[in-house]
Amino acid sequence: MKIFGVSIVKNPKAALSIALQLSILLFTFAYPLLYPKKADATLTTAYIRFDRQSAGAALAGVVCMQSTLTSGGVSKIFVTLPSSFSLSSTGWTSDTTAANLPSGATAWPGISGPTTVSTATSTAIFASTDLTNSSNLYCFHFTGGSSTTGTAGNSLTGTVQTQTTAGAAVETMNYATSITTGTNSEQIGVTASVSASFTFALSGGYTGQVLALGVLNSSSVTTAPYQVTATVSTNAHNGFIAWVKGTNSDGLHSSTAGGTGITSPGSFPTVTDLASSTGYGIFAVAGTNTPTLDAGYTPSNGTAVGHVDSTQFDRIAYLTGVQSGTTFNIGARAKPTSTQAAANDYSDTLTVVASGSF
Amino acid sequence: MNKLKTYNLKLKITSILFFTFYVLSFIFAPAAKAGPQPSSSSYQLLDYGFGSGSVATSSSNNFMLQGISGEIEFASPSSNNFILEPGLTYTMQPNVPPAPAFANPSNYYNKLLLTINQGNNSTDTVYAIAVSTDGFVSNIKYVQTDDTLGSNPVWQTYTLWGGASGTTIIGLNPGTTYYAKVAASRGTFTQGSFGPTSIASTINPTFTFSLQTNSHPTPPLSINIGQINAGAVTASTDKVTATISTNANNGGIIYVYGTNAGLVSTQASNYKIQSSSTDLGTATEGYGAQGTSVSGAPMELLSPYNGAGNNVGALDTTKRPLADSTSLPVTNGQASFQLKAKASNTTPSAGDYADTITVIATGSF
Repeated sequence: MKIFGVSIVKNPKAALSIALQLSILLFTFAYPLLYPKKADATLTTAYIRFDRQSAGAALAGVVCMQSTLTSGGVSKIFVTLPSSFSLSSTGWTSDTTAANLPSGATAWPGISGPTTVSTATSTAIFASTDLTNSSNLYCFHFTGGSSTTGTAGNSLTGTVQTQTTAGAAVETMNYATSITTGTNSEQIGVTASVSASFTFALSGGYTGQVLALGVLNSSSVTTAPYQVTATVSTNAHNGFIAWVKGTNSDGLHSSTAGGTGITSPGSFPTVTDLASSTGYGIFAVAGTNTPTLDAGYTPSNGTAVGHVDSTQFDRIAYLTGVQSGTTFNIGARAKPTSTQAAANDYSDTLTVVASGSF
Repeated sequence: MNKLKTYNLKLKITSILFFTFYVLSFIFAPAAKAGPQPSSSSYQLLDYGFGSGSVATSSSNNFMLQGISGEIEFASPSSNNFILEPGLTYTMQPNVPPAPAFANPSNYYNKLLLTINQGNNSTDTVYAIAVSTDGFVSNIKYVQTDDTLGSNPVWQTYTLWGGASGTTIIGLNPGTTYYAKVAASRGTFTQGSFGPTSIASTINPTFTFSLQTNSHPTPPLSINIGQINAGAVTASTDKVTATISTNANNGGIIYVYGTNAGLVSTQASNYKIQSSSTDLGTATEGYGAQGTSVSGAPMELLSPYNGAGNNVGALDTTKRPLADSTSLPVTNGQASFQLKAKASNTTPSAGDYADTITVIATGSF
């Protein structure tokens, strides 16, 4: 006697049927534990990023994909651009230059081409090989020759599809992009100005920027033992210029002795050697950043001097470019005539000025 | 004689006993049962009868027959308004599932959400989901365990198909109308018909992008940082705002890059205030961008453009991510940034420092 729907143990076929159905039931519950559902298809990340996104801009960009499908037999990539793009069929390139790829991206394996560009379908076909590591974001950069982004618009769609040699689709990314209205409309022109700055100071000397010559001797040239330091800082891109002028028309003048003082020989830019002459003058010495000294104050030896003019400023030092703490020193020398009246108050005042050349 | 009588007596007793047992076998025989009605928590006999004897199930690799005598096995008289489905086969079948809940809840372009309607079936019922793009005329696919579409039906319980939350069918084509229907089964010979059809559609991928500044709502766009003083950080009063909307599964990203990698002055013999990611407060000189705000829920500023104080991100020739939508679709997500610069006392004075920065954006689909 057989009970329909329930196999009696002694019926081997019925027993087998029950066993199979129980197996199916068990596998149905176990399958998700063994093969957890994936949150999405095999593409983990996929995008195409254009270098420019304004209307009519040159077409170039990067294509990136990260996939869990590591052995799909990929041999080609079909990059289909929005139909509003303006494509040329020649002049395209592809590269995996690191500077052109997103940070952290891996060079797309086997990329080359495109082997074909169809203006009819707005598609460029590149050669490729499999993306073999599911942990890598693979990218390549391309340029489109004389192609452009065409006209402006939003949600302009296209696809990127990997295919096998036989032309079977492996993975497909459907994308949308936006092209902004107007030439260079995704760019911002930035302008700024930098204000001028200039600092100038004198320091040094005996005290209070004094060049003390001491007791002068008509038989030898006396050089002041101290020098005054001029310091210049400026952001003038053409640098600075410094000038010097005396006060007294007769050079070192004595109120006590009266008469004509110890005059400054020669005239700028001529240097006078007091070893074979008499008079008073100054000289310059380059300091920090080695500014250029004018020839009129560059002594040829330890007794030469430049002319001190009381009626005009003569250039003493200069240097192009921005300056930061540039220095030069000013020294003084004198040799009176044998008939110069004796006095202890011979003096002159030098005025040193400087300016930035902006 | 006595032996004969004894024999006849035994024969009578035996006959009586046999007849008694024979009658009792009909009285107490379980008729359609071999014992108590078989059932468990996972099955129940709804109907049963006596087999026809011999081998009741003939089968081959491709078919199996179930034979039973004295009972209608299969018939489906019907009219326009009803189907009468008598017979053991239909008794065994689960209820035909009603139309599933089938929708595009979030502007999906490559997936749709389907929730099975169990139709009062038991928990051990398994279901297969059929999907088509032409109303099941010729294009018929079935949802697989990984939620993609395949050629063969996959049977799973309601729970494994996502239960009340449903299952998201992936790998679909954008801008396409899909039809879906569900069939139920509960063991051998119990697969029922597919139920009514539900319809839902994917939309196309979307991406919008716009750019403006405070003082220039439309292109051409420009920003004047103004006069940069030595030793002090100067910020532009104008801010740049980029706006994106996309249904990309992994959201959108906004990038920024500069043309000169710094502010360059032609007057100052092409001197460059170099751009770098740095704290301008301590740097001698520099130039960069600093994010100021985001709006649109999933938007976020990214390092190094999310710094505080005088920390800026570089505006060099590398396309750097400025902001993104946290890997989520976004509507009107905005990111704003300003420019900052600092000069040193040796930065050449000039009035023509300039750069061109480009802002681009993409969806990660």
